[in-house]
Amino acid sequence: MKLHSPGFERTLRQQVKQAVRRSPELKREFRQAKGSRRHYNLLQVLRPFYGVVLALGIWATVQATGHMVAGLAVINLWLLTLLCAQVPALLTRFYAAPELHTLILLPLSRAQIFRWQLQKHFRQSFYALLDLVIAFGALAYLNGFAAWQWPATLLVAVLAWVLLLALIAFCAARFPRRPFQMVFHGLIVMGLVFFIGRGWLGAAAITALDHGAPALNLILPMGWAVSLFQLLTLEHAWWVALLLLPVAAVIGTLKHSLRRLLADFEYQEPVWNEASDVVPAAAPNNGPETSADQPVRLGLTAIAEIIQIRAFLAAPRWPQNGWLEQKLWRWLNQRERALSEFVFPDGIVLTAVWLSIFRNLFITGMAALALGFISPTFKSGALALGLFVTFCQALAQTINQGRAFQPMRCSGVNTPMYAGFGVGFRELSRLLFKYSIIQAPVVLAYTLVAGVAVALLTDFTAATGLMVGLKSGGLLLACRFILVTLAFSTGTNDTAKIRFRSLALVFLLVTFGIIFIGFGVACLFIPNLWVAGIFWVLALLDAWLFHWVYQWFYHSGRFDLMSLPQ
Amino acid sequence: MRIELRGVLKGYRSVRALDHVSLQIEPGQIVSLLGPNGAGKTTLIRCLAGIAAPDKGAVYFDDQEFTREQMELRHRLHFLPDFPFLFWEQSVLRNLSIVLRLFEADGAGAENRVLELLRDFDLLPLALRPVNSLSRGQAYKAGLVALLAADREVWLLDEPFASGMDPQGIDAFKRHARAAAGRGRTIIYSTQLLDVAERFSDRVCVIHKGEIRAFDTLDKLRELAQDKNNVLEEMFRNLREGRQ
Repeated sequence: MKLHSPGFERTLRQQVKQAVRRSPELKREFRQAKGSRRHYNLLQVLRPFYGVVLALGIWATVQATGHMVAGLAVINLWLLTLLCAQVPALLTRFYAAPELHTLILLPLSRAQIFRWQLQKHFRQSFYALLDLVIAFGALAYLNGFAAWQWPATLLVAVLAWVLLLALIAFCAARFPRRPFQMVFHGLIVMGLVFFIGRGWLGAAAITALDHGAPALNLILPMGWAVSLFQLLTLEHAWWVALLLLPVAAVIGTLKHSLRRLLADFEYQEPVWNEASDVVPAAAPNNGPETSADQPVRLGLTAIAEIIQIRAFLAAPRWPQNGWLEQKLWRWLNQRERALSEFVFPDGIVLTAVWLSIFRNLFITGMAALALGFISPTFKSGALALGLFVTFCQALAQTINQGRAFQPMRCSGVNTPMYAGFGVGFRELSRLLFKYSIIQAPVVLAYTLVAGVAVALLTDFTAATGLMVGLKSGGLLLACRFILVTLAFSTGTNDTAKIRFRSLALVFLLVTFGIIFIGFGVACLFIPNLWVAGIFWVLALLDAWLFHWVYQWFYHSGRFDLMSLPQ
Repeated sequence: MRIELRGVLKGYRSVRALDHVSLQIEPGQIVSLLGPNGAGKTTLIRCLAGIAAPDKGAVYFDDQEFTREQMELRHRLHFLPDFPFLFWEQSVLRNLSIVLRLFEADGAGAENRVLELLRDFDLLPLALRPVNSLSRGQAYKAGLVALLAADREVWLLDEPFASGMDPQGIDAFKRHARAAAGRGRTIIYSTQLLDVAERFSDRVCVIHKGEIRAFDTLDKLRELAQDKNNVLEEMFRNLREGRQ
């Protein structure tokens, strides 16, 4: 699909080139504009190589387990990660992409804009196909496939890719509000934890993956297409062919999912009828707070009264949400309280979330205990799933940055919200640190319990689990310095220009980052608690230095608090 | 607050958005920034707001150099871009309360100020609605009401007259801005509308290719112009033809 005439574009391009060649001034401007158009996104440059990383992971897994199914499970988990990343990406492309503002001004129907955006999504997803081709290629090589088996391998890769696309569309259409992003980040962090701690966790993780691989490939829908690869191997598991049925059924939903997404793809300003100007019998209990779903509908007199009695300026009600919120509110000074409303405009919820995390952990434990009577694999699976879910919840809660760093598009650039209101680096960082520190006891309690659960899962002693849990909790809290710094950095163009300062900044931050990982790993794996404690203090100090160094560069005012949209 | 730019240079890759700009703005003035697209108007406003960092030179407020550490200086100015910084899922009133508290302007009398402004800008019936349910012009007015209610010493506005505001809103803004300038507030805004700049500014600042080509009162500029009735139009014609 094209939104323009290629012939017209060709002619226009030729004429522009001719005009530029004729005028020295235009030539100069053209060179300048050409220079400023170049953007390099490291993640995009490296994207084609992700497949190679996946293939290496598969190779290592198959070598360690001797089972191809374990390799297929790795592909399956990779597809789950892609699914969790792609569902929010697809929704953003349809409903929040910056180019939509321009597209709606063009004489195009919404169906055409929808197809245009969908086309871009499909183009982007070719990388997933590339990953799959490389991954299945690696498995085919490991199995010593004959020439006729290679085209069939390619077919399985394409089928898995189409299934992934169908699942992305299905999830976007049916479950747009599910926390895909959170699961994505959880999977990435878990992957990094397993990679960094492979010396300690590697063998146990590989064993767990090997045991759980057949079940995983059956439970996760992406695994249905991936499992078809088994039809090509010497141990023909013909029952696997039955999986073609659910695969076809899911792919069959693609059309319907797209139709559903198109039906919701509406650009309309909602029209609200004026509320009659009647004074309600009682003043609204919820004050001025409204939600997007249920806006308060009051007449002019009632609204004026809310303003006049200063209800809209009343102190926020989140400190009454629970014990942790109360403690945090008391700890914040006047300025930080005002900032907390800006950073967390929906209020702060701590106690309820942590209660839910511990409740989920308890349910997981009980379910694992019950399933243990049926099969040890089920027990491990339930425990691993519960730990993963609660870990995602705990991570999201501990490192929550609020809304201050949200990029706002204005005059063609993205400016973080805090910069628009002149909120300072120190004050904002301090608030976010306090937000994390107040949660430290519950974070440590969680990591201690989770550490014991992981120890049970991996045949370590409970004492080892407790110690690792304590250290992990401490390191998670130390990470906050780095994460807040990175949140500041994301909204700026600090590394856009190749200058001595930018290079020095990158060098220092990478160095401190590597040192942090080094101290963190040492803290985790040194059995002596006192020595490990010293390494934790060093890691904390390093993270603080990371933050302090960036703060110095930030205050020296050599970069902008805005970034060009990618 | 007295504003001064001393030799401010700001470049984006090979483009010089501001080329050694020096400027002094006295308090209590309404200054319009004029210039063709890409002249450097928005960059100048961003430098004043502390969002863009000058490559060379510095910005001074009351003879104090403005750096990112000096938050007390930053709190004395309010920046309103073409798309206002708002929490779109929150109500207009909630956004106002957040901004007022952030600028510590929520003291006694804030409620009357907010009520008056909401009435003036026809936003009172919409005060409890989420901003994302409003039209672009209404959302801009919400940002503008926040700026007027916070009432900082310096107002920085990027293209306020191309924001989709209705004539009633534009009229209310001009009225409040005039009154604020009378109280010593400095209002700096960018625009492409020459007739607006002609009628609604104490001083006009014309920028072209990052350089200040003119910065004076309209009367002074009129004295220099050949076409006395269309001073700014003539100036733009000259800029386009490379004569000035």
